[in-house]
Amino acid sequence: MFEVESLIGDEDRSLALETRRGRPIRNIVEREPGDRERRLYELIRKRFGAQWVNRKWACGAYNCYGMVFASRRTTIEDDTQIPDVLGDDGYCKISEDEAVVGDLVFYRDRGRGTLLHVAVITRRAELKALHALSKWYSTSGEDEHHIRHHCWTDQGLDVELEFWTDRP
Amino acid sequence: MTTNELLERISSVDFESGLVASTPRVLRQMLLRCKEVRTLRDAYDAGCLPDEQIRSFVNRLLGEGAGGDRFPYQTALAVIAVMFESRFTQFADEYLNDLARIRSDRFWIAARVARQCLDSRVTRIGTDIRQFSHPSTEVQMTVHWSTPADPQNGQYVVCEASESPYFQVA
Repeated sequence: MFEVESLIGDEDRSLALETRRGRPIRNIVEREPGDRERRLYELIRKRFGAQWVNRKWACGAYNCYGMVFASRRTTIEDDTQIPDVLGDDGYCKISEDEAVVGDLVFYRDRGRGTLLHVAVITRRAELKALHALSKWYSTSGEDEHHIRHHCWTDQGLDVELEFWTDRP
Repeated sequence: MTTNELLERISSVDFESGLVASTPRVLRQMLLRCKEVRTLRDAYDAGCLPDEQIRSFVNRLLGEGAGGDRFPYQTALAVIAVMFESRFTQFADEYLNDLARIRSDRFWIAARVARQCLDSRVTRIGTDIRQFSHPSTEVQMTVHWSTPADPQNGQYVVCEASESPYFQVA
């Protein structure tokens, strides 16, 4: 199977990307979404994003990790590298109360310990509720949302939030 | 739901909207717990989802997605990869290896998922515990093999097994 597909098309397009200490970060510049991917993003916003505020419509190039650690240039494809990135780039874990604008919130599947997502804290609203900016996946758009209004609420995942800062 | 309806379901945007995944690894983990994957695997095991049906479904998707910049049905290809991760048939091997081999960035998510499925297969088939019948007794042993078992003819290619006077390497 896939005889034609393995012969044609561009090789993975990646950028030279490293942690601050010079470790390479695997990445791929995602292609732009087509009509179907745009419809998918609309559906996800309808399904989960009643209270999300859209910043940018569906686009390619980067995922959440690429938005945060690669300036929206590329998709960081392997989330198992993120702990190295955090360590090499001088991030440390903080509590939710300590988080301020610009800090990061990570979403982790408590059952498997897998990182699901990262978002950037954008504001602390009334009742101290934190809001964050997310690029959900490599062809989604960007949305600002309450940190607990995410995509995994009704998928049976026990999602744990972690807060990290690069402030000393 | 018939197998055709199930296959249509996994290629729908409605299905994909419940699988928001930032990386291929997260997508695979979500698919491993997805009920549609389990149902398809059960249908495959029961012989209700023949290889030819999967092949023609995949070929149809490849045709429909041929024109776009990015292949739009990568999640459906990934579903089948995860379904085949623990199935050691010739067709499952062919599907996973061929999908994993694609270097085109149009398919990068599906190809990465297939590579992870293959990695997982290596671990999965590395060690397993099986009951082997013997005319006089039943011997339980740990068996290590490197060549996938073929459930269609019941053969296992065994590389190493715990020592047993009753066990013969196939």
